[in-house]
Amino acid sequence: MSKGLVVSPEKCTGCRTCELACSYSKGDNFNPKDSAVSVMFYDEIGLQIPMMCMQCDEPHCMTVCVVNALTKDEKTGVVNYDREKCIGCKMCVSACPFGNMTYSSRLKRVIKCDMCGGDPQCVKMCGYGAIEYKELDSALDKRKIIANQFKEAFGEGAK
Amino acid sequence: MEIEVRLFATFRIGRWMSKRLSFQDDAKIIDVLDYLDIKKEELGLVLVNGSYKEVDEKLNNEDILAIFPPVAGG
Amino acid sequence: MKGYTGKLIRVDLTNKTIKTEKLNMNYAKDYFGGRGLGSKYLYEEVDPTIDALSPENKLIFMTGPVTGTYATCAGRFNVVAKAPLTGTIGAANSGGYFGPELKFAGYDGIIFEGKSNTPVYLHINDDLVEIKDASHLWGKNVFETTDMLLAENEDDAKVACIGPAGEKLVLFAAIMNDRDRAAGRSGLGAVMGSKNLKAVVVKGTNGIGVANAMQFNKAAQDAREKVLANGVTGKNGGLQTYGTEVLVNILNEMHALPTNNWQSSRFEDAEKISGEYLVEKYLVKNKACFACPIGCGRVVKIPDGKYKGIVAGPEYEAGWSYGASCGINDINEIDKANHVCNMLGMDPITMGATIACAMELYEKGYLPKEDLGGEELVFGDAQSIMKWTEKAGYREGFGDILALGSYRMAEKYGHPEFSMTVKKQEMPAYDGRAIQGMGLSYATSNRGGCHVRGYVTSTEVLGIPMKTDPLTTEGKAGLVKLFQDLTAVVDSSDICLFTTFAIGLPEVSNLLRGTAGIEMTDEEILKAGERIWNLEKIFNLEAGLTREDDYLPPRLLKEPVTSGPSKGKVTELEVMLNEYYAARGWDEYGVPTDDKLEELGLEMKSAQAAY
Repeated sequence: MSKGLVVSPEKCTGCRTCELACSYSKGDNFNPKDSAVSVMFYDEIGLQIPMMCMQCDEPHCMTVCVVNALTKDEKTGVVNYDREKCIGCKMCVSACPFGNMTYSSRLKRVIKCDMCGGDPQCVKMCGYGAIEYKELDSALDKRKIIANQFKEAFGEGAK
Repeated sequence: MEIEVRLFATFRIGRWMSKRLSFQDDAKIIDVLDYLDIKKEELGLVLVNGSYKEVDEKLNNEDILAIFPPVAGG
Repeated sequence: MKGYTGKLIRVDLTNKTIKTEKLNMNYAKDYFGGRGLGSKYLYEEVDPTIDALSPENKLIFMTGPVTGTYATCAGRFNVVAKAPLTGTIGAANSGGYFGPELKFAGYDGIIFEGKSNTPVYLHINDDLVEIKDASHLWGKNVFETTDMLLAENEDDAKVACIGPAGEKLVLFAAIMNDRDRAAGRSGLGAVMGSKNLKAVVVKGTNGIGVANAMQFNKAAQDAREKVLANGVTGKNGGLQTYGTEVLVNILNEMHALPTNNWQSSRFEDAEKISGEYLVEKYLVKNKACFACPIGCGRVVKIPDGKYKGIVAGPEYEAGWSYGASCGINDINEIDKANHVCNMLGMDPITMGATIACAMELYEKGYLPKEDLGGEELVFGDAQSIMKWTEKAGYREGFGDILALGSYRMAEKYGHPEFSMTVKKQEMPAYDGRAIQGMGLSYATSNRGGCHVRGYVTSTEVLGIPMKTDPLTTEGKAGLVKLFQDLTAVVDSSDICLFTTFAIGLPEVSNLLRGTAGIEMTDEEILKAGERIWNLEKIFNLEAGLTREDDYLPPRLLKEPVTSGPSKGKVTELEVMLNEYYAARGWDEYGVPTDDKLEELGLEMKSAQAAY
């Protein structure tokens, strides 16, 4: 059993408060470019989707990391990043199938969601309940989260 | 007496838009709100025949009572 | 220097030069940001008597110290210039994401000067600031322009641009950002068009810090909790559930919803243009501006016709201008006309109200059918609004006249009395006869007929934060002044005015202190609001406006309301205006007295014309 972030695109209004909450809690200033969560906009179909690390059970980012800067915490499910070990090769950025790893050349570090040690600030600040922090059963639930996002996207698009 | 009650915004949810209702002759606005199970803290404003009224004011036959939750815009 | 980035971009379009300069912190101390700060720069740098569409005018984009933080609804910016529709100072406020992005790029604002000889746009990516050719964009609508600019620059940049209406100097053209947000009123899009400036594209990667983190965190949390707990602004509250159009039924029940170009005050079919109806039939979802937990924006479905698709829905004012004011009960057609305004870059309030005025001129026989290309233009014809909006945006046929706004149009046909304008700008959707305070607010607004300069509807109609009697004139002078001054503060911090249904001066002041380290009491901050108001007034006086311009259309002063609780009422302007001037510390001509100027630390260059 582990908890994870569950995204409901239909509730997202695109206010991007999650991006601000993330960057402010990690770095003391407001900067969406330093945020581990980004809202993607598909205005033509009326869709906004907050995207962040899915904390994969078999993280590709971790597999490709040659210096073990990325490790999976089996208890919390979080894929943790160790800045000290990181050499900035950006292999993880290429490997992530969702594009949820970003590298800040200014900060010289990878930006990825760590679920704020169990108190995710994006969840706390989302006024719409579009990002929730919930108990997840298994990988199946996580897949369902992704699938729901696609369903939402294609469903709206087909209208 | 008979009055026309018009509900707006969220007050319509689970209720209706507009209805003619009968009340005893000395009924006050608050009696209608009680009948509709609308609590004072849910209330935005009440208009009787278009004029703002406090909830303890009395109603008259054929009054139009419009009831709104807190709303604004611009 | 937190809260502010401390830098401005100055672009000379005539000579194609770009400079970055330090923000004048003496100005910022007295005028904060956004509307106030932009107005201060304009007043210091532009002669108020110039033609608004001449190269001598300047176009100023300005953010506020709170812009870009997550303080509630802090995503706004203002555009300031002398306005072509009104001849007054023009400041228009917009949401979306453009304002914060400008700050992330490292700038509090941009000042455009002069006029380019060919179409250009400004591209900003942090330290890179360049003027680029926009010939290929000229003639493109707002959505096409935005898409093309994102394709040829960073695809996650933010775009503010004009559409064909701005290019063709439609006098109420808007500057559009993030596709469907608008610095909408008084024609600033035409100023941009007159400079051959098609767009501003900005991408930023810098952070914004706050001056006092502890103070800011507390202020932001406090404001946010109050906004979220409020019945109007909160979760599942009136604004989030029904959008601003939730007002339609209230104003209609009060008989204060101007109908058929203000010939009556109640619209029989109001329900069909209400927020409730829109939600039931056409709403796809809500959309919020940057950092906003209210989310009043409507995303609606247009199910038929050439604009079939998912688009931004109308606000209350646009729903009214095309709806009740044109006698039209088809919200789907209103959605389409509003969409065309976004697409071509126009203010839908003035557009709809101008069509309504043309309808009355036609009805009365003053506007000949041949001028309309042989077509009719009648109240209630839902099919007409989208078509005439397109023609106005492109200035085709009679659209070329509509593009002047209702005052100049009605004047051309010999009957300016049918133009429902103040200072040549159309009043919005609250009858100033049924709501006396709004009558005074319209008359005294520094940018002409406008509801967001002093939104006393809040107390007069909605009872927020307390209820006032809309039918009396007593106390309205002070009320209007207070709302005007407070709104100037809100617009200059650059948070959304809608937060003020839940928070007031103390909360806004705390945000200013936390973000910018402003060390002022609440009273001093409100005084700065009064200073901003007076500066705008001085600009207008020096531009040649007089007491005669603080007027209302004759219909509000002479034709009484015909039904409802305000039946028989006109706006009792004269008595309120005298009291208002007195409350403001202005003389009988509306000129600030020497004592008032000294109190506010202002000087007048000249206002001889006002006497």
